[in-house]
Amino acid sequence: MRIDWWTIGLQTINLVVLLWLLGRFFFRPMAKVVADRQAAANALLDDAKAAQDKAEAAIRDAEAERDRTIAAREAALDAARKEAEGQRAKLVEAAHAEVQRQRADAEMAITHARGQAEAQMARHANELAADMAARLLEGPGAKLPLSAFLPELGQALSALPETTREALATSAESAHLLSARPLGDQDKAAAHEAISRALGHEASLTFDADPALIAGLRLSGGMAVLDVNLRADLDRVTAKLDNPDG
Amino acid sequence: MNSPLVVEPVFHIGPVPVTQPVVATWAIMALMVLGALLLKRSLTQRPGKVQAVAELITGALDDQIRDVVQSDPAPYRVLIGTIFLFVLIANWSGALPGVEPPTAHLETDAALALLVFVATIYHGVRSNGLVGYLKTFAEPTWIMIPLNLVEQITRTFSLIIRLFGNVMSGVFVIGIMLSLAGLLVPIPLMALDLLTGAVQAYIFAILGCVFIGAAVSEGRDAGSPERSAS
Repeated sequence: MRIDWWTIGLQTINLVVLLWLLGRFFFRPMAKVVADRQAAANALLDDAKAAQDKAEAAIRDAEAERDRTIAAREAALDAARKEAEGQRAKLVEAAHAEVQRQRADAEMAITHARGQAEAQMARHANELAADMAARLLEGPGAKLPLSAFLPELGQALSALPETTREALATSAESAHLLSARPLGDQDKAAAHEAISRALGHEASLTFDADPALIAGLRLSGGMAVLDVNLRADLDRVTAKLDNPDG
Repeated sequence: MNSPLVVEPVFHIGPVPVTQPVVATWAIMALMVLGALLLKRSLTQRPGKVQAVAELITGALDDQIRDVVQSDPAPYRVLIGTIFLFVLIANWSGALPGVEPPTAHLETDAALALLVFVATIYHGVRSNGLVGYLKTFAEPTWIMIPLNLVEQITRTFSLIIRLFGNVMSGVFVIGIMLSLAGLLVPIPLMALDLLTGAVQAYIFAILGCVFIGAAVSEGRDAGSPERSAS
């Protein structure tokens, strides 16, 4: 075995040259391209990070804007709610007042209607009482003699004004004497005599009968009508009851 | 077939004999530099297939160096990478007919180991200072100084002999098989030789890396006895 020192030297030089060449043309360019790519990737990542930060900032802004909008909406809702409550209170108050007014009107109308009904009932009761009285008086009235009424008729005639009496006495038409039942001749004469005396003139009379008078007489002539009968009394009483103030 | 233990000059340049391993090394160098130039011309930010493979190799180298040295691989990348690629291609060049791998000769392996030896001292001194580097020989105690010195020599020789023995034996075995059985029979052995060549290239590069890493970190970790050069 023999060591060739020349070969060792040449190989060492070869390897050093190879080291330099590969370093120059292979490893350094490779490292550079990888580093460049890494730098580009880092730049991209930085850009992405910046974009992400920007997007996050935008999201935060949007969220703040949303919160502000929500707050504004809440405030507007509160204001609208308060206004609505105010309006409602006013409406309720107005409705309450309207109800009170209508209730007062209704009560007034009820009171009025009740008063009218009561007056109507009173009138009916008075008419009923008058009817009852008339029926009650039909029997006793028939028994009353004519003489019971003639003095009162005379007084009534005397109480008339002079002109009325004159008109009654001097009328072209005969005075009309209505009695509850047909008069006999004696009664007619007595009536004629009494009336003539009261008028101070000879009276011209026609006679008729109307059971509606119950008892008594009605003298009508010219402008005057004189009632001296139970029906007229009952009517007066009824009218007085119907209108107690009058 | 010539004995692999003896190199005969192919031609002479003046007084300098140029042997077959030197010629083969020049051819390998030309191939590597040409490939590097072609690759360099087409380097882009978006790598093609060739560039992707090249980046894969350099990336794997960087990872290995970083794992061993425990620091930035950039200062050691060119040396370790060149040694690995050269040894790999030189070992595999034996598969070509008529080519004898330069690494099958002691001189080439010695040159490689010499590079590693010098680089170990250079990086040790650069990172620890001359005194700091020399002090690492007295670790863990000054009694270890002779042993540490001997270790520097022996591990370099072990580098030489390991690579030489493996590659030369592969060449030998194939030569013997060829002379005995002829065509096609040595092919499985040649395939095994390719595997051995790759493994040896990796071992040589990693060991070189370990030596440099140890020299760099021994000063850094002075006083920690568990770390020592293999």
